[in-house]
Amino acid sequence: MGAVAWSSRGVGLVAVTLERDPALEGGGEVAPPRRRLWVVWSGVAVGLIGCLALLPVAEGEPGGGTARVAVRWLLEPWLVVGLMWLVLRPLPVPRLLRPEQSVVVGALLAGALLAQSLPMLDAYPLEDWSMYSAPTDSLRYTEFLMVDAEGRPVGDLPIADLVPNTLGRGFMDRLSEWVERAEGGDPQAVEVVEATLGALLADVDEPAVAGIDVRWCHVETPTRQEPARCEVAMNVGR
Amino acid sequence: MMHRWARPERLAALRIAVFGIWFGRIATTDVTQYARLPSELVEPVGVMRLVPLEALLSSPGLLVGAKAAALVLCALCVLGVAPWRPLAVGAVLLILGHDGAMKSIQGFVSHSQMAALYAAMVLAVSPAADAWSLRRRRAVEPSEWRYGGPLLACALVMAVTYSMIGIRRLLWGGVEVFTDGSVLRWVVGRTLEYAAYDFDLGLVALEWPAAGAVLALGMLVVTVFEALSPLALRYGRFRVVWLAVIGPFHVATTLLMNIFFWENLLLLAILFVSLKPGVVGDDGKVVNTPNVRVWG
Repeated sequence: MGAVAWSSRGVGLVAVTLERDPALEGGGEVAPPRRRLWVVWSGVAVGLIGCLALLPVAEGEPGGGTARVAVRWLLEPWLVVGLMWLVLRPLPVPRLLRPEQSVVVGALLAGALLAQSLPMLDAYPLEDWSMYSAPTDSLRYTEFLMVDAEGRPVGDLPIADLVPNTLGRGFMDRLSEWVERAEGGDPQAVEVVEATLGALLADVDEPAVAGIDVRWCHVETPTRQEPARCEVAMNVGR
Repeated sequence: MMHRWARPERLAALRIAVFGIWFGRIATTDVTQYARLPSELVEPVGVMRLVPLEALLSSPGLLVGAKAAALVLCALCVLGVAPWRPLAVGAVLLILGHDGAMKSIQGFVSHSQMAALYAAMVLAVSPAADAWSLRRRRAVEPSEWRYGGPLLACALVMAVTYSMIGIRRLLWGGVEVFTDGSVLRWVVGRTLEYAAYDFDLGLVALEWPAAGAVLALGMLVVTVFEALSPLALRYGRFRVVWLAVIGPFHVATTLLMNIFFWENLLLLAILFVSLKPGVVGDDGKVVNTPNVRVWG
């Protein structure tokens, strides 16, 4: 509840700050009556507090349950569009766009909104990647460690040599899916993992490197002594 | 509304930054490595489902040719060479292919470089080469929204991206995401995980008992501001506070999680910050005010 109280206070402060914006008053645009502005801000505050207070028990990843689908349909895209409307309301659209252009833009926006509102279309950009929005009681990441003949770590596998820096983690996540399948005994997955890691190993000049350990690491209750627990899932030799 | 009377130089700065970003990104990518990946790893996403991506990625010669073409077109776009629109559209298509291929290799669409990608699309259909370019044509006097429209569209795309993430976290994470230690786990996990950077400040947090609560509070503040991002387009004072939160947030994710979106910081600076004190009035003249303004 502390977070809710903080949130409502924060939104209130923001609203007070914005109440008298010279960009509105001096920029040639007609400033909306203060009362109307407060109504709008109250709506924003209620929406945000509702997100926090009415859904206190998070269910993490989207999907499942009519109620959650309904909540999502009602709130998520419409909150974004509502904020856009609030911001873009003063734009002189008829002067910026010809009528036919307005129709096209409007139709595109309506189609995008509809597509994003329907979970079965899987069109919402965050559908496949929750962007740190689900509570995580155990975070798992994968390590690809180069090891010597005795299995001692020599260093991280230079993933960046194969894929661009920005893709490193995404690529490792993708490869981890295949490692998981390989662990389950899928021969095609074993082949894919060995081919990929083999290609990476071929670029490593270090003679001490005898193979790659793929390790699952879990962060649950991190401490200074043990920030994560790791176990070897798979080994690929030269 | 910001950018209403923007000058061509501001849009040109965005053009140079955006196509410069893509030039650097593509130049530093060894595309021939894609051909060494097993085709099973590639899962086309978005518009990449419409092209024979697996076949394209398995052809090193084709990849090198596409990279060279993309670099040439991006360089021409940075210079603002005529004919602007065909060159820019061609560059955008190749950039889309490059980004789509990368995201198909990871199997999902993440937000990496999305702002720069969308900005390139907007720039391609705007008069972005009217200033600071090798074209002979001189910039026309700024009229209402001529140069500001594309700038506003790019700023809107950035703001909505932040907003969608913030609202998603509030909706699906609820209070729990800020109270159950998730934030500390994310920080520690991302610090330990292999990354392009090697900061370990996230582990230092483990030595301080209150770190989890401080990080969660910071995340909550950032999330609320992310959710409200579109308001920064219209309300000057909020924009100042918003920048004061979002800018340091990007620095914090670098130090604490080894995630650095320097492109976003650059675009934020061009789209949301003005060094010029004063408000641009309806007549296009700058009206000085005692306060330093951020895109009045």
